[in-house]
Amino acid sequence: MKVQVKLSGPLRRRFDGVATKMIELPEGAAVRDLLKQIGFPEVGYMIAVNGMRVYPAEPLKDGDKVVIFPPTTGG
Amino acid sequence: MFGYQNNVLRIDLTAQTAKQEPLNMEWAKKYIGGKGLGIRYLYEELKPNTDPLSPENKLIFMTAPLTGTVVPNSGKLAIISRSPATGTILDCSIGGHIAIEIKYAGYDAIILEGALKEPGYLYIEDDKIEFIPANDLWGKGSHETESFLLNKHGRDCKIMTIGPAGENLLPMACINSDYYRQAGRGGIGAVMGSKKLKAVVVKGSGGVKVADMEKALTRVHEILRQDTVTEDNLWAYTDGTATLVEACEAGGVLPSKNFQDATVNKSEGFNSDRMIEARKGKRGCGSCALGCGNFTKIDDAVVEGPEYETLALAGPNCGVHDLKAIVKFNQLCDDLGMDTMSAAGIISWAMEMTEKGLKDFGIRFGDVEGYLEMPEKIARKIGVGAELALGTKELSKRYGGEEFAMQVKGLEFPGYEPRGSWAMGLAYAVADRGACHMRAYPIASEVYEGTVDPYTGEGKAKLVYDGQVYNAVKFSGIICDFWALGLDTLAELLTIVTGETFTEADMEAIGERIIHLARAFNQREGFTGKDDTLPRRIFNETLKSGVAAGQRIPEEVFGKMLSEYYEIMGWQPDGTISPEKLEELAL
Repeated sequence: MKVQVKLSGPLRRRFDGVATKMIELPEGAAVRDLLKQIGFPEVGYMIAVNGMRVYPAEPLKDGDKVVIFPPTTGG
Repeated sequence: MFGYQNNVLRIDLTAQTAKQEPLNMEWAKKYIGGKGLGIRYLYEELKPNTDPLSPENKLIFMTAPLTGTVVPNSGKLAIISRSPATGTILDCSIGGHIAIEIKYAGYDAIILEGALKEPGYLYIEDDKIEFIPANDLWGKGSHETESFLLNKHGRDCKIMTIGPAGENLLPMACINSDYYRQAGRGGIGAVMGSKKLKAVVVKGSGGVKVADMEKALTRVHEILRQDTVTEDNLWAYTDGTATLVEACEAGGVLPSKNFQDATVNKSEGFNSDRMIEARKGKRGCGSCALGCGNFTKIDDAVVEGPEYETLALAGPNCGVHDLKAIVKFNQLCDDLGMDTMSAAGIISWAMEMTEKGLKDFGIRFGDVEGYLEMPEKIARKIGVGAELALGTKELSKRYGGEEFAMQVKGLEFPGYEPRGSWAMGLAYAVADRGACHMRAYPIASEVYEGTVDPYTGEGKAKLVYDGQVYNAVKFSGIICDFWALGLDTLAELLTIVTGETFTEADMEAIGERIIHLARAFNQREGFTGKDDTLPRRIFNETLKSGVAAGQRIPEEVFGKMLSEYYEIMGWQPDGTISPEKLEELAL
């Protein structure tokens, strides 16, 4: 399956400045598998799938839109 | 101690006289500068029950030992007074370059007393102090006023102004500097307006002596690379606070329509991606290594910002999802000298009152045309604006709707839904100046990092306490909120600059002392634990949408969090500080 991954803020640099990439994952993969594949730790980043916050155990499906947010302070 | 000028400029506006006096160095050791030291001065000098808008109230501009040095992100100024909006202590923080200029003019602090008889402004150039009439500027917007003064006195001056909102003594009036930077909350601009002071112009030619300059340069260079300009902080540069829009929406804490619900999948028109498309430039404050400011322009709407709070509160919380409308709202409020957060909070409450048929304020959710007319009406007290200028707390007492008047102690909510971040609810309730996200920011752990369950009261009192201690000492250093430095680093930088040894434990002790001090001030003004509460909507109504759907903060859980917080602080079960503690603090 393929999921669309968007990196927010300074994390974009990890995709060589491109905000969004399609990432191929084995069927049945969860968010933690995606994080491992693209080099992120499981803790410390907020992950949203289709606009809703999820945790690393969340299963993914083909076509999901994933966003990874950097840690932030203030507002 | 190095880092300080050991000099306070005390100005009597009534008599139009100024004198210099040494900084109280005993207090400086205990409270550093900024927020803490400013509150210590006000606690000592202000008679209890002083009317915030009377000449007897004081307005204190307080720098810190790091201000004007090579330390990054140290360019903010603390402004302290008693709040016209809440009656509590009020300390605001303003960016730009004014703090550094005050320091270079030779002062750690400027204390304003009394009031001018006619509108005027202050011109401060090192030792030269002038009181200049400003009848021609009274009534003009902040932007026009700053431009006029820059042209008159030279572009190397730094300036603070108020707009019509401050002149009209509104509880949401702010102080502006560098056009788009604000000391925003609690009506600090109304205190300046009550003194008939349109502006403060500062020009300084001095510098700041640092105890160990060689070490300062070496360590700052290392810290910048290893701890400041890093992925953990660079969100401030790449996106600014707009990055929070999509994160808060996904986390179920982006409010909708006066906190009736959470916003879900509606932020595309005003999120960070949209902001970057409309970005025309970047800017940072003096000494800043991160540069969070974004100039946004869409047709005739232009502003530095909007920041997250404005995007959330003047956006979906007013039923508005269009960036151009929010930019225009922000631009109008800035020029009128009005806090976008409270202005938007009042308008969203009025929208709900109107739609529920409780009182017709002539404004409904999503009515962009009507919403863009409101800042001018409120700031200049025109028509319905004259009523809305009272603020949400007073309005709801008069017309009902108290259960959804989203305020604490008279200060309108920030843009984070507490039912999706329960510790944030506690943080609003116990913040020293009313509902504030800058006293503790537990939403980072509860929502962004996901390391703490957001929907439980367990452990939340300690989370809020830790955040308050951290911010209280950080804002006394003064270091900008957006640099997530450790307190060990803050202690090291203070040691290098002042020549006195500070440890991380000292930082924690100073932070806690400042929380006690602010509480003691509020207690003296009659505030009790009964004031540490939230609007009933948060206890009684569940969210319907988003990841926090079904959540409310049960009142008994809130009560338990509050009791635990008082226990950690060593306060009595009713939230008061014991006489023994006050004695220990030498208050």
